Amino acid sequence: MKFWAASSLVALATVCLAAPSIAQQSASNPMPQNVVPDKVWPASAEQVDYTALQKLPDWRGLWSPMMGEAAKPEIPQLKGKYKAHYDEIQTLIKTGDPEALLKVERRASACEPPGMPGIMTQPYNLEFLFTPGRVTVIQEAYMQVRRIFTDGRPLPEDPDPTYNGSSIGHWEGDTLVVTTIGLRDGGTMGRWGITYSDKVKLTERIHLDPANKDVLIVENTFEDPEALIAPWHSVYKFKRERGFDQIEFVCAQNDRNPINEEGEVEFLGVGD
Amino acid sequence: MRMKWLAAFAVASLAAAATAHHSFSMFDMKKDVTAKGTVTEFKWTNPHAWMHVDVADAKGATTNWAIEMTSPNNLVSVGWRRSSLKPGDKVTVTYHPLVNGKAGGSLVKVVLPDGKVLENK
Repeated sequence: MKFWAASSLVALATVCLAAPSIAQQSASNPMPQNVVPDKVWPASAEQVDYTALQKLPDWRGLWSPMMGEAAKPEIPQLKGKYKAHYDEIQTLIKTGDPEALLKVERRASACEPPGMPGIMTQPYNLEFLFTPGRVTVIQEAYMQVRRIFTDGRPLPEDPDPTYNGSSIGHWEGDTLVVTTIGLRDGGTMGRWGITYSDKVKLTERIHLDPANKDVLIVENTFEDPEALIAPWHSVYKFKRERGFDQIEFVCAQNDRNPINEEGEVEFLGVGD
Repeated sequence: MRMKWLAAFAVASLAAAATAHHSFSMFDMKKDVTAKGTVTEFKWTNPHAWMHVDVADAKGATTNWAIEMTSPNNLVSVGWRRSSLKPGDKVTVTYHPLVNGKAGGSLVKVVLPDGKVLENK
């Protein structure tokens, strides 16, 4: 989007030097010719101040979810179809059906990412990168990325719903406060049958544990005028690993667990 | 990497956390089967590593089993490498079998020809 605008001159120059067939393809590009960015925000600006990064807390290393530390979630005060959905999954859980969650949270593919906030707690690790005006979160599983802009820009007014939404953040001391909107209707706030609408707003307060600098705490607050009567809260904890780096993870490389029309995960063995 | 897969399963089964790729309900996680066999294929891939193993039954009939593991990202932290197995290796595998009775399962551990044990974590 912005990248296109920023790089359009370079692209144009390249096209002019390229074969006519490529130029013809560019002529049919649906991107309007007269789009100019409203403003270049600091995260992408030519003049940047890296010195400000020195004041930020040390979040280097990799962060693995401490699932055993997960507190029992609050009982959400849901309404409408979101309450009906929650009640359905709670009934399934009480039956002891190990597929209960999957039956309600159907996906098109086992490689489909969970979206926010599930991206934060997949059983792999997170990496945080600080650059001027921006925090980037990389989830090792499927190499997913979250972009949190801390350069003062506002949230988009009418974002297309996406798996990880649109996020802006700011620092309150050593706590990164992140606001996310633009999530897809039906996404889960947690794997307890608690789902949100596309009007959900998530606020995360992310900081190191004052008692242990190798523990990262994420405090979530969900507000949703369509799904929730009152805000719903959850807390995630992560343990730091400094001795490892993330490894490439391409889920499409050898996915032998397709999901069938009944929503069941299959296992493609020898000859299947 | 370094995530304890089975621990993740245990939590997931309590409906309190996410599994990355798929649930383990297709496997009989309370049942361990141990068999001797010969590796025919080893796939060091995501989202799962796999081994195929020829296992002979009591009557001498051989079946090729597909055994799923967690990912290379996790396995490297418990000693696995892409060269840990190769076709022709005589191994002893322990796995949770598929519930549907097909020739597949989720690996618990494998004993390599030199006696080294690699776990699926």
